[in-house]
Amino acid sequence: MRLQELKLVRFGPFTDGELLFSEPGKRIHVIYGDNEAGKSTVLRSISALLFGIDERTQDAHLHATNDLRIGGTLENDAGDTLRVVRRKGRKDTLLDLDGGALPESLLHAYTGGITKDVFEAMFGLDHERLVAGGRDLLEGHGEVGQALFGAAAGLRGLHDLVARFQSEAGDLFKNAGSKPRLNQALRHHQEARKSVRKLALKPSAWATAKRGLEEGRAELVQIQQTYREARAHLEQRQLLKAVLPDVREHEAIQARRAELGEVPLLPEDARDHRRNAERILKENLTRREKLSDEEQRLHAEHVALDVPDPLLALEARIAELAGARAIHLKAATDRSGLASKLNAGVIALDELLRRLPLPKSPEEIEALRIDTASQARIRDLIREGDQLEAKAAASRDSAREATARAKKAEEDLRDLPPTLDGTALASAVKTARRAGDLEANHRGVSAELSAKRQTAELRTATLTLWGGTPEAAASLPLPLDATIERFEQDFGDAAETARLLASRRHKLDDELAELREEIVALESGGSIPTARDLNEKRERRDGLWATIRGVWLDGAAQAQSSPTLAGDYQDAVRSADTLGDQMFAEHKRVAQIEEHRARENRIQRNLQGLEQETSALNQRKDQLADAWRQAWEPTGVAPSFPREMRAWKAQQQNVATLVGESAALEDQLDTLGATIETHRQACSQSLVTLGENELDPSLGLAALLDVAEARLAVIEANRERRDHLSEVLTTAAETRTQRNGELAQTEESIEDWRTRWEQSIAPLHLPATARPSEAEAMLELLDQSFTKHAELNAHRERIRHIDADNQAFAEEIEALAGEACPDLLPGTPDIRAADLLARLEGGRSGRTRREEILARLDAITAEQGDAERERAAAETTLASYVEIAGVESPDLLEAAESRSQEVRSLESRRVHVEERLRRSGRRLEDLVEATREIEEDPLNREIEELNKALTVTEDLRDQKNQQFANLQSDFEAMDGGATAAAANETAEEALAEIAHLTSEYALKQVAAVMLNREIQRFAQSNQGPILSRASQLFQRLTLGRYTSISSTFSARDEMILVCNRVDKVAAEVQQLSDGTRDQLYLSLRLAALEHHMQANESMPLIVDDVLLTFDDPRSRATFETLGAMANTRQVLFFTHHRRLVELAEEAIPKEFLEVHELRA
Amino acid sequence: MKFMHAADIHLDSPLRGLARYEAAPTDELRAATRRAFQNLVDTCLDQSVELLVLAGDIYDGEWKDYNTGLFFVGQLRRLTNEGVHVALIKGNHDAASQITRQLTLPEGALAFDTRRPQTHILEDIGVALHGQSYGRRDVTEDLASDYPEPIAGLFNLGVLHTALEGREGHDAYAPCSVARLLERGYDYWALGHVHRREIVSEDPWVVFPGNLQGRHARETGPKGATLVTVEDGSVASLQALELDVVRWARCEVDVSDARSAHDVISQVRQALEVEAEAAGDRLLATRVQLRGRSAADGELRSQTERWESEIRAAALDVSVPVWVEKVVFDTQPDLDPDVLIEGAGPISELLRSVRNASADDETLHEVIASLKNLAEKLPPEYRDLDDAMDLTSRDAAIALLAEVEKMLLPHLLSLEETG
Repeated sequence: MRLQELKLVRFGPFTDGELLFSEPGKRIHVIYGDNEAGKSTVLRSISALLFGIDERTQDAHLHATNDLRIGGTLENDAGDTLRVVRRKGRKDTLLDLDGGALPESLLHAYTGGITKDVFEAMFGLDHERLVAGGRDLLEGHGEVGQALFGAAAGLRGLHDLVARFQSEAGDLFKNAGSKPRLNQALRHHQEARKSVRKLALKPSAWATAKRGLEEGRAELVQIQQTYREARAHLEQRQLLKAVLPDVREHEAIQARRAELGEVPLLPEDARDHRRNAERILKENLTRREKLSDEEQRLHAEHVALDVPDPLLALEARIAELAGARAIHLKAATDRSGLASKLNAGVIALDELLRRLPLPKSPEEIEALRIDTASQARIRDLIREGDQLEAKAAASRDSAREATARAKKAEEDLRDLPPTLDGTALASAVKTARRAGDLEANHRGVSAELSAKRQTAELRTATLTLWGGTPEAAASLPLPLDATIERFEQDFGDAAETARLLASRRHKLDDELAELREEIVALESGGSIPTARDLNEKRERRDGLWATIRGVWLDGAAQAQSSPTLAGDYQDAVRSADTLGDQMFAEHKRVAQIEEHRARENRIQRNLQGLEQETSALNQRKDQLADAWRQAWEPTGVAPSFPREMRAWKAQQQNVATLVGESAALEDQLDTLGATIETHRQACSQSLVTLGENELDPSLGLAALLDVAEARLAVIEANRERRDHLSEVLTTAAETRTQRNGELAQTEESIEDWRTRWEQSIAPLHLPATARPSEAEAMLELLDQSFTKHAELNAHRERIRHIDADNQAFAEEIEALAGEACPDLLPGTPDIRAADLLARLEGGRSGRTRREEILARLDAITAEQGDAERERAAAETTLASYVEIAGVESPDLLEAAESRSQEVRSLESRRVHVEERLRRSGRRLEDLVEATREIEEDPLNREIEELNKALTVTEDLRDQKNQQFANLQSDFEAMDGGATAAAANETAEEALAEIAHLTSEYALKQVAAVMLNREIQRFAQSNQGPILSRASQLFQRLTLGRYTSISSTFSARDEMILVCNRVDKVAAEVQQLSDGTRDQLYLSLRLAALEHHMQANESMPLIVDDVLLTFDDPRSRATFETLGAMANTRQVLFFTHHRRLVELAEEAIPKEFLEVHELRA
Repeated sequence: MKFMHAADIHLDSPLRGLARYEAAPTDELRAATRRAFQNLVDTCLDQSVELLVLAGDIYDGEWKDYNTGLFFVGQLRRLTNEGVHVALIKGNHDAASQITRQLTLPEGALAFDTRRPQTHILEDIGVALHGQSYGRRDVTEDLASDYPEPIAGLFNLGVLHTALEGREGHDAYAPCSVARLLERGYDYWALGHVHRREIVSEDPWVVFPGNLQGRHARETGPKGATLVTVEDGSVASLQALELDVVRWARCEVDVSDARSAHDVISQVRQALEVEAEAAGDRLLATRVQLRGRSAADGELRSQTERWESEIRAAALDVSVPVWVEKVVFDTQPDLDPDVLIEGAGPISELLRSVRNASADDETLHEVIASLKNLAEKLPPEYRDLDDAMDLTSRDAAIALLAEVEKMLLPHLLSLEETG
């Protein structure tokens, strides 16, 4: 099929665009467009026209999806044409020019029935596919089947797909594996089946268990019965053992009681009561005697006792004398102290009075008393006068000090130098400083420059092959990098070829030497008889035979001529036979030598061939070297090898860079110098204006700036000093005036004070001129006199009181003594008071003793009554016991008591024993009966034996119990549980997984088998024609470096592709460079396509910028190849490289080529 | 009077075809037949039925674990303790079962004799039961022909394990015609053996209740027993009760409209929701079958494992637990593969060759040979599966080649797309 026209009615960025491919003869169309010109859209539109617009098209951005239209005119190999329009939609998308729907099958006659995918894969070729195709060749190790199939179908990753099926199948199942999923599932299934068998409960097992359980239960019932009986017997014997001592004791008690007979029972406490009564009677007698004695003694004492009752009648008043006497004694002491203080006070007051101006006696003192308000006023005036004096003095001092300060400041002002204006200088300095350290900058740049220059010179000096200045080096006309690279590759190729030739040469030499050694070895196995040798021997034999025959047949006369004839003939026959045998035996060695000789010749011919190739190569190398030298001629440099020259060129570039940088630095230096000078001038001028006439003209800018700044500092200091002094002067004048005013005011106040003072001090009887201190002393003296006078009056009053009290005390004593104690001795009141108090004390003691004696006598009388009653009660008690016991006297009571006690004790024991026996639960009579014949020791022995027997039975019973429990738990475990069923479910799940994985595995496995098989089959049936055509294309695309492509067996026994170089070296795919491999893939693709189209409808070949990595010669070769193909097929070549358009025009005859330029 | 009619319990027979996968609801699947039987007993007690009739195949023939029998008796005892009568016949599976021979039924449960048909009269509820158990697995004679005459004044109930004139998928044991059953004059024929519920006749009633619990992908839909109410000596009503605990379904999804595999997943999710709705709150075990000519075919077939996982993941979103038994990719590509196969070029040649391989002995031989190792390792149980392939057979090889053809196409085309 040929595309005659393509109409982009509404598609992508196009509206009513069209491309015409209909001009007769023009079959190769280069469609050129810039990046955004819509090249990709056109590419998509071709397959959209033929097979429909993509469901999710990206070309509906300008036109609505439903409006998209592509039109085209197609012509098939048979010469029919078809005009169709394609719209976007899900069905009926193929239309005729009137918009009527056409069946898709109409296109089959034009597309040969291929699908979109296949069309794009087989007939679309772009750079990416080319590179990927080359990579596939590499990954598949050039395996013929995959290489041819992949190239023919345009499929990439075929190698991966086959490997993927195989590996996925391997992940599922391996014959001897355990990890793959299917192997695991098989194992799980097997394990689960095993579990089922283990867990399943057999019906017979259940029946057996059930029977065992029933038997066990019966046995258990039996043993329990036996045990119960044995235990009952033992318990009965144990009971007898327990009651035996009590039964025996009971019998003993009964016997003793009978022995005692009738006994009257006394109360249980009779003995205690009796003994108590006896003791009371004995003690009672002694007690009564003692009481009588005491009564008599107390009566006597009472009669002898003397008590002063009149004195005791005044007891209260006399007792008060004790306190009054103590007060009396204290007052006597106080009075003597007061008398002495009074005397001393009178003397001191007289002294004070003498210091006063007017009155002289104490009585007159009251006339001098001044009221409190006047005193306060005088004291205020004293304070005010002092303050006014101090204030006046201060004002005077301050005024004097201000005057002195003003005078000093005036003198300092006169000594100051005159004022100057530094504004201009300050401004110049500021501007210069703002520009930075210009001189340091200058030095830095200067250093950098000289370093750069030095480096440039050094680099230039080490730039071999050339001598001259750096500037000259920088401007050399060198060849381009690309040119150098091209030479490098060519030199490399030549060297590689030489290496290969040498290697082959060595190989051949080695082979030859080895061969020759072998020949020598073969030949040294002894001389080998030749055919000629054999012929000679045979001739001699035949000759002798002729002679013998002649002799024998003709009776010839020669018989005598050789008597040894027979022996000779025999020898000759043996010799010929031996040689024949030897030749036969040596035949193999002979053949080997001959074969070796032939190989020797062949190798020598090969070596000659190699010689020729080597010399051709040398010639090519010479030509290359000439071209290389010419490339460098304009520079005058004699070039070394390209790789070194590339380094050389890099170094030269380095020098050029350095030269450029140096020039820039020089410019920078000049600018800096001028700036520095400008600043210097400005500063110098300002300094001169300020009177600096002796400046050193050689000073640098920095030094000049320092001088200027020092000068500016001095000017500023002078100005500040002057300002300060003027301010001092002003302040001093102000102070003086202020202080003088204050002084005048103070003096006025003093005058006023004085008038008030004179009036105030008049009552003190002081002169008007008296000073405040005098007045103050006067006031103090008066105060002291008044105080002392009041003190003396108080002492006198106190003495009078004491004397009155003493009189009253003495009178009371007299009164008391007269009333109660006329015999009291005379004396001072205090002595008489003491005597009186002593007599009162004696009276009180007597009275107390008399009261005690009377009370005791009353008590004795009561005690005597008690003793009599006690005696009577004891006698009554004894009499009652004698009666109960039926004895004649109390002396016999003790024996009666003992008998009664024993009877009571026996009764109590009997009750206890019977109680214990009752607790056994048996009647007393029965127990007595049961134990009648029993002895303790035999009973103990019997119990021991019964115990042992019971233990044995008990063990047996426990054992049976345990056995039964086991049987029961075993049986209960057969509970209808579902563990076996669960294992069976697990097995079923594993089986399901096996089924699932089996299907998957089988599918993958069969897919891998089929794919491999078909790929190999394709290779077998197409290898010959495709490889032969691909060889031609490959030779052309590699510019003759390779002559053909063939196939051979690899080390892995796979049929692989090899490329044969012009030098007869065969290279495997892995040994090819990437570019050559791409060319190999392109050759295979194109060859396969041609082969396909020989038998099928042809289709346009759509090529999209495949030449990106091809150099010009190879691009040209590709175009030539495509041009040659285009004799019969349509080729659409898309590119956005103008250069490729030019190459196409060079390579393809005009009559075949048409260039279309795309503008969207 | 009310009685329950059930059959084909197949206690402890496992559910088939469910390969375990991650996130599969394994716990919900356990002991399904046991739980369904418990449901039956619970329902009998809830409904206060007077009689439970089991029309054969209580066990699975080859199953030998006596625990199954103990479980069965334990459950029956729950009924007899409450005074519910139980009557059962042995079916072909029970006849083969070793469990049956040892087991003692609880008092109040009766089993029919294997040698001759019997009549048991339950006077307290006015029922005459007629039936005969299978003595061996393959009973091929017409048992019904010898069944006793009905007893007047009682409700006559015939119990029979039969395939009638034959039912698809069931062995033709104890064959008999419906006409013969009708002419016997009973009020109700309680049949067993056919796993699909079917009311064969309404006057008198001849009923297959179907099995109690579906056990594989072919036993889909609700399963359970039939509750019969008898008033004045004749059947007043029939009610089919759903007693299964795992519901089997077949989820067929037409994905013709799907534009991508993701569309397919969401369609499947919707379809699963519909099935889940029907299953109530049971575990749903389902086969997902994708069919239709679809743009998604290539995407699906080039990564079947991935999309199967995606479908299983989608099943997790459904309101009940779902076990996706398997996913069947039965789709066709959007473009007609025949166009490509009949076309020119190496791909077409390859596909053509695969298609023609079914007729090529040498290729078939090679295919079979490539599977020999696995074929030798598969366990004997594998052969009994519905979807088992005899990997040594020509038929299997031919079927595989057909699948390979469908699979290779998208793989080859996707090579070009993805590089």
